[in-house]
Amino acid sequence: MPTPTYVPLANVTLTSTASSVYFSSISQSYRHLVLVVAPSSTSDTFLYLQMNGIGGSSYTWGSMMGDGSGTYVNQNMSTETFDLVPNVGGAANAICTVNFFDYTATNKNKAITWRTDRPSNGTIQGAGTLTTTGAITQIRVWEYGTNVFGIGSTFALYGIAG
Amino acid sequence: MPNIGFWATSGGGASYAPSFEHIATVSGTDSSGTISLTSIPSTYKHLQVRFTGRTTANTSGYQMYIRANSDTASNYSSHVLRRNGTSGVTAAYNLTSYMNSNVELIPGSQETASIVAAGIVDILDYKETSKFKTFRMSAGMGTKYTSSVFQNVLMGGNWRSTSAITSLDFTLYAGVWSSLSTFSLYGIKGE
Repeated sequence: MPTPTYVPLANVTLTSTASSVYFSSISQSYRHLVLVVAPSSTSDTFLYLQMNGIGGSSYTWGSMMGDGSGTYVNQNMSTETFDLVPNVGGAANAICTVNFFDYTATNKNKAITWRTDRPSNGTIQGAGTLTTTGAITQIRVWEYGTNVFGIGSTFALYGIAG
Repeated sequence: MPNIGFWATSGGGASYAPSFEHIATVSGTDSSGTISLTSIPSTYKHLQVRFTGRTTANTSGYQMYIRANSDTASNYSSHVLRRNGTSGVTAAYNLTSYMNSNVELIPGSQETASIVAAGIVDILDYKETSKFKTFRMSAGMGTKYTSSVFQNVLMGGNWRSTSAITSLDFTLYAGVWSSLSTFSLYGIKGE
C-alpha cells in the first residue's frame, strides 16, 4: 500500500475557552506541516503564533490584506511572534491555514506562509521567518492579552512527507 | 492554559488509498540556476509543489520563473497580487516565455544567512489534453535585511498548451540556487 503523505497529526475542538493552544512533541518524521485554525464566533482580536517557545526578536514577517475597502500591508522585522491576524477586526469565524516548510531542517531558518480569511474583515496572505535552525517541535497559537479562543474553536495539524 | 499535546494519527482500522502522494524532492546544487522536476507521472489528477528557496548570488532577492515541459516560447501569462517591500499592495502581469513571481522573492547573500523564501504552487488538471494549464502560487519571504525587501505574492499563471505536463522548471532571474533550496512535488489523485 502506498505510504500516506498528508497525515493528520492532531485535531482539537475546544470544549472550554482557552487563551493558548499548544502542539507539543511534534513528530520529526515529515518534511512540512500544515496548521488549520478556525476560531469560533466568540473568539477575539489578533491571532499569534510562536514555535519552540522562542520569543524575543526572532520573528520577521510581512503580510498583505484586502477587505473590500482597500489594501494594506503589515510587517515587523524583529518581534516575538507571527501575527496571523495583525490588525483590528478580530479572528472570530476566520479560517487560517499556516504552512511550515522544511520544519525539521537544521541548515536553514524556518519559513512559513499563511492565509487568513475573515468573513467580515478581509483576506490576508503572509510570510515570515523564525530565525532558528533548530527543528520545530512545538507550535503555540494564542489570542492577544486576556482574550481567549471561544468554545468550538478548532485546530488541526497535518504532516506532509517528502 | 491547556497544553493540548500532540499525538500521531491512528491510521484507522480499515485500509485506505492515499490520495496525496510524494513524487520527488529536488534540492539546489549551488551550481545551477534552474531546478527541474522531471518524468512527472501521468497517474494523478493535480500537482502541488512546496518549495523553499535561496540563491548564492550577491543580491537582496531575485525573481523566480516557472516553465513547463522545457517550453521557452511565449506561451505563458502570469498575473500577480503582490507586496514588494513597504510600498503597499500592487498588481502586475506578464505575457512572455515564462510565468513570473513578479517580486524579488528568492533571497541572496545580502540577506541574513540561512533565510529562505517559501511557497506553494498548485497545478490543476495537469495532464488534461483538452485545456490549457493553470497554475496558482502563494509565496513570500520574511526578511531580516531591510524592511524594503518584504515579499508576498499571489500569482495566477497560465501555460497555453494542451500537452500533459511531464516536467517543471523553476529558474532564477540570475545566479544559482543555493543548496538550501528544496522543491517537493506531490501528486493528488482524483476522478
